[in-house]
Amino acid sequence: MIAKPEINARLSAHSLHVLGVVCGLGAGAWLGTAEAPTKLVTMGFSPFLISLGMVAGVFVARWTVPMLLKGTTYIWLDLREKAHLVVWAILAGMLWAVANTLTVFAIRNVGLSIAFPLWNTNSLVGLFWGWLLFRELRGAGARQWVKVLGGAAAIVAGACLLAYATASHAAGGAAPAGTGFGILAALGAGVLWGTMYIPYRKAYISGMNPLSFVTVFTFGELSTVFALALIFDGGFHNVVTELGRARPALFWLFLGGFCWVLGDLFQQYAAKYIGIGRGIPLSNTNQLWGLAWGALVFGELSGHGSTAQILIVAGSLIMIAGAAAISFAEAPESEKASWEKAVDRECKRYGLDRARASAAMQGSDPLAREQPKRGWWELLVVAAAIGIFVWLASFAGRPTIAVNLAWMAALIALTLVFLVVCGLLLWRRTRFS
Amino acid sequence: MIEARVESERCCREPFHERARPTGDLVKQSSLKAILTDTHFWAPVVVLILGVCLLAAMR
Repeated sequence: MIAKPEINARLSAHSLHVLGVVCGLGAGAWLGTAEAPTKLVTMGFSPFLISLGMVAGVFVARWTVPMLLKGTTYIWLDLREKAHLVVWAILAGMLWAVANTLTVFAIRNVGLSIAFPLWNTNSLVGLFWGWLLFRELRGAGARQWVKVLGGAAAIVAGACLLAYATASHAAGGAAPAGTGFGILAALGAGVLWGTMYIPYRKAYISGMNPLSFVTVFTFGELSTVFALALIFDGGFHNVVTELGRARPALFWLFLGGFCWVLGDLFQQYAAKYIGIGRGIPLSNTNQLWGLAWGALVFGELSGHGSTAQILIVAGSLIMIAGAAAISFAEAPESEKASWEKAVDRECKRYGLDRARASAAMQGSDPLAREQPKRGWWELLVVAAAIGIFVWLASFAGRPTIAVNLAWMAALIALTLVFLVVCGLLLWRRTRFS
Repeated sequence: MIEARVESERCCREPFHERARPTGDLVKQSSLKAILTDTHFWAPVVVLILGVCLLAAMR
């Protein structure tokens, strides 16, 4: 007979797994939706400028959402407690920025519905780092290994199929060299994003709140994207001139950045509660959303032959099946014990409080118990962020790209359902810890 | 032993951030040393450099 505390502990662990899985799926929905505005790249703006516009929106959202949910005092105290993670968060932001810029090149050269699955190989990279550095899957049974490795193999197979479909059946305009570079850019983004999960996981096994992490992360991403725009896009004067020219598009880019932040937050929670080896493949269902936006809203697949379309859909489905298999591999107790060793390592190396780090990993919030104060002026910052969006909307141009409004409305509604469900679950189980 | 007890009592009384960071900069020198000697640190750094090189080639 199993004792009641043990049953409760198992239920608690299972609820965290479910929470992580739902957050991963929510991340997929919002990250996929966020890519839609980058379609504006076809309007003739530089990829660096598109990236800069989007990241500026990300910067605004990354400050306001955490502050709204937890308050600046909480975020500041959390950062002070694990100050070494500031460096890691900035590094992660830089990786994100370079990867994001690469994806803009990829979308330009091979299209959204093809580039997406290719950079989603980041789950394999994340899986590898999770196993190597954070002892994920160590101590897991053969069944878990089969699910995870089988899923990983399916993702690789799907990516190869998509790359073949792109190279062999590229739509009219793209030159072969452009297609090759597009594929390389998408795969490069996958490696960068896969490696970015090292700082993520490091932060969460140290007990940091994802909301605090992204607040610093955004400095790395904004400064890097700005630097890339300066270096590769003709210097400061040219960037300012181009920004002026892109004014009508800025609202859409900011909106994309805002959606990205929500998706990324859900991804961070997934990485925290089920690890990067499982959380990232789940959030990579954004491939499905990217495909839906590309095909249904923007009509991207219409230029491809039927063979290419079948290959693209088949490759995408194989990748999704692989991600699903990985996601259903709930970590057993033996693997959780292995995770604890990774927590031990961090606590010893960086002098952290072991009990607090463990509690945070279990969904508790030790810092919130100290009741950090909230300031009235936090509302002013939120109002300023809303004001920026309203101001940008006042001179936003209507994108010239043809869209299917009915499909767009349906996809937006579904995405909002994910926002509500994930938000409620996170609040009830962890209070956004 | 007395020192240990005092430390233990202090741990219960004070918020962790006040114990952990009594003085000084946000990131201490010892923390920076711990980061630079952390083998985990160099994988992202190398990947970042390669990514920038790829961007330069794409241009």
